[in-house]
Amino acid sequence: MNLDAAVETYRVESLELLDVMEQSLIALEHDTANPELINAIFRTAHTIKGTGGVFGFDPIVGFTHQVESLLDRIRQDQLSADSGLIGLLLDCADHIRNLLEPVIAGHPLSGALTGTGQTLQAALARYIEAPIAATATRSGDDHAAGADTPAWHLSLRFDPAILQRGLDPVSLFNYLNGMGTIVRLVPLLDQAPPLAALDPERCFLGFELSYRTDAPREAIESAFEFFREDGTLQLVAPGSPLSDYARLLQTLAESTGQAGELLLRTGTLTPAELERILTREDTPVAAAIPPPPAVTQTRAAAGQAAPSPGHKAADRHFIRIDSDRLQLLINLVGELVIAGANTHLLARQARAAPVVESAANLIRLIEEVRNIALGLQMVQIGSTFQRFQRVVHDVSRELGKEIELHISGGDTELDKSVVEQIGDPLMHLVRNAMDHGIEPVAERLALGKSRHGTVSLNACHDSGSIVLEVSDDGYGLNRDKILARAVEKGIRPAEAVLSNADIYALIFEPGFSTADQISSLSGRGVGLDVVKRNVEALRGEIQVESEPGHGTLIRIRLPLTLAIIDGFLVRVGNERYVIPMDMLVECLEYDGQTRQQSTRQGYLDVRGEVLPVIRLADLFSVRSTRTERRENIAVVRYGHQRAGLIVDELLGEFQTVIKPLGALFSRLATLSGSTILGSGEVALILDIPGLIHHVMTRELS
Amino acid sequence: MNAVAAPLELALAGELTIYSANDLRNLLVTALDQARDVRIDLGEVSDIDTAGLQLLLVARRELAQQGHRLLLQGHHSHLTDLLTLYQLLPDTPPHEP
Amino acid sequence: MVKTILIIDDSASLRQVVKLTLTSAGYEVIEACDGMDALQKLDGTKIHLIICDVNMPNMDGITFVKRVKTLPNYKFTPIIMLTTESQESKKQEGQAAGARAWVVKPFKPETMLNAVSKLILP
Repeated sequence: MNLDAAVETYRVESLELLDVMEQSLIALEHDTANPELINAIFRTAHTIKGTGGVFGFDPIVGFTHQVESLLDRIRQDQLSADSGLIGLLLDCADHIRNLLEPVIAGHPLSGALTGTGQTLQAALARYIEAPIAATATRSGDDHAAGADTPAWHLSLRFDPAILQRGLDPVSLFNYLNGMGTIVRLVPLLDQAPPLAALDPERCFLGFELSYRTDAPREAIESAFEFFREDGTLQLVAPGSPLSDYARLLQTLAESTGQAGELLLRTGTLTPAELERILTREDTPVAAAIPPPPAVTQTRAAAGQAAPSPGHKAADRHFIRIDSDRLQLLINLVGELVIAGANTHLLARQARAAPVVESAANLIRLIEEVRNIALGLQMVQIGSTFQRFQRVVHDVSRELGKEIELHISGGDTELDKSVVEQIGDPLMHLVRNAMDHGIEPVAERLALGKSRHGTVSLNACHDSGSIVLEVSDDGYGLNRDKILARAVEKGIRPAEAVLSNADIYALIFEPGFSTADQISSLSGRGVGLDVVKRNVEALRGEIQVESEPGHGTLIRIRLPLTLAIIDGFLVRVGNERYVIPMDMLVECLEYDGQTRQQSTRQGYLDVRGEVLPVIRLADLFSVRSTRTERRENIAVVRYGHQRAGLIVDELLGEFQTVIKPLGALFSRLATLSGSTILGSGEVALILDIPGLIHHVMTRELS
Repeated sequence: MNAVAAPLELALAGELTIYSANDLRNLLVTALDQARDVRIDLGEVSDIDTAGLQLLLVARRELAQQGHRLLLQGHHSHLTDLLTLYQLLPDTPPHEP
Repeated sequence: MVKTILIIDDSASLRQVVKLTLTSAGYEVIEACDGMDALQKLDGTKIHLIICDVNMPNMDGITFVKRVKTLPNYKFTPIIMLTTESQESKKQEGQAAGARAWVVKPFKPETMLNAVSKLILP
């Protein structure tokens, strides 16, 4: 049996459950008696343990079992979840997380891991008064019956309701036949009413059987494990003294004569043996024993209980998809978009109205498929944000500060690959805000601020980018201190004149650190310059805003790097370029007079605002083929900055698939990719942030 | 034994289980009023459980009290084991005439 | 006739293991992730056995059992409850609801197969 896929599912599932456990524990800190939270936490441990056991991941099962026991005590109000206990449980969640990889891989646990486990178990045990031994699994033994084995005698009586409870003796007999042979079975109808009065959903049958098996008594009894509540089993071992059979006869509800006959019919006793029992022993076998099992179980009450509140995260149904397969799908959808556009174009050229209409329908459907396909690799940033709850919880303790994390915009969606890569930079910024941004409690109180410092995480979409903000309500940046530090470190010459924004941006320079005291956090030798590098690697940018005494806001702007975009097609000479639609602000007419002005100065006056412009023909060294006196400007925007792109012709909206540029073009910061037009021509996709940067730096120099 | 009347022929189909047990009981009650042997064709019966087997056992008991017989035939092989186990078939493998 | 088993558990990997175990033993397996999901799957399909976790979001196992007991086509279906030894009180609730078969988590695949074979014919 190949379990690899299931094991991988288990690994991913457990990591998610641990996230839920962590978040719920942190929430529990503020809401210590919330039974839903406690149940959610219990359930995570429960599932990790339960499923882990199925795979035989004993170290995980053993440890999680202890955690579960503790949680069970909290659940039953035998313990209250104080912050010490929550801290311990958070450590336990970490430990389980650390156990997962080595245990799944089948590696021996490292000494450190074992040590941590023991320490935590000892701490857990202090809460769980009496530690419970690790769980044992039960399993039924299979025994084949030897051919000449003497037979057991089994006498069975049932609660009439067994059938209604889904218990059918037929299955029992089949099971018995699996580990032995039922030599003879005699169904007893003496308890069954006449047919007309019989409730046919109830079982009035008793059974006497002789059974041959090598299995021990416990194995036979285990066959009845599910019937135990609803029936009686009398078992007489093969070769038992006759007195045992006599006792059996005595307990049978039937009269002696019939009971004896039964044992003859099942072959349990020979007539001679029966004779001996009946004559030799004058036991009062004639005394009828009341018929067996009284009905002890009430029937199921109709389902009236309300569904229990579940954890929100588990409410939705998910399937997991291999990301390679998803990528393949998206690539194919990309091809489909191109093919669809081509078909549409050909149809129009052929001027065949029904075909054009049909192609238009096709395009509309492709568009829907495209949107859905792209949505598949979009994930909400929320779960990434939630992870910081734990960080803030731990770090604020470490620092002796009181800090709360506020999260907003968690439902903002972005590309999965971006989410994966932005986690570390965000972590750094959050730690930095806590370490350097938020004041210690005493200082905050002295400043008339609230005891609790607040770090906020926010996400939103803005003109085709995603904006992530990390802010705090702490000191704010000290302009002079930063400047002094930059001069001291030789990052900036003392005489440079810099705007506030430029000065704040210095904190992202390599080797910059203003902390008066090196804390354990900032002492890691990793500066904010790493954050900047990571963000830039995602083709994003960082801005800093700060108000002394009120706090700092760091804004990361990232492109939504998608495989397919809505574009606006423009022509320059014989070349075609695509501007991502969400970065296009407007198109302007461009007459000969202003042309002269902009050529000299590199900017235009648009409704009183200065708009830097660039002629794409010059930038890409393309021979412009314009013959008319008019040209066109496409005004693009990225963040707060705008620029005008002078082009020969505006061709209109166009849906396009980004193909990565080859190595040849990879040095071009102003192009982000290429695409194939419906006509088969290649168009280059403009990298607007790169272009704007190009225009700005050109302006500065 | 009433040798005059030919057996009453019944053909059952589907499941003879607890889910259909009430219907089967009613059918058998009607059939037993006929004071004849009852021959049941189980050829179309897909499944049987203890509830179904119990009805057949009780029906046979009542027919026997009237001096009649319950004859089962046509059953598929997967039912044979159960019918045999509950002693509803003659000990020899069933090849009913 | 192939027997169909419905497995209800919020752990996808546990469902996978159980499914693998049972299908390799010749059963057909339908999956559901909680009681609510399972009720939707009880749409007339013949189900011979239900394996049901006790502790699930949305609709827990006990509530689910109570509901099943009201469904004409399913009320007599054998049910195996998945539980842990720490859920003794749940077991009593389940018993009252009419569930009789219990398999303790964690279990080995053979244990599950064994329990199933005590309840339904192959």
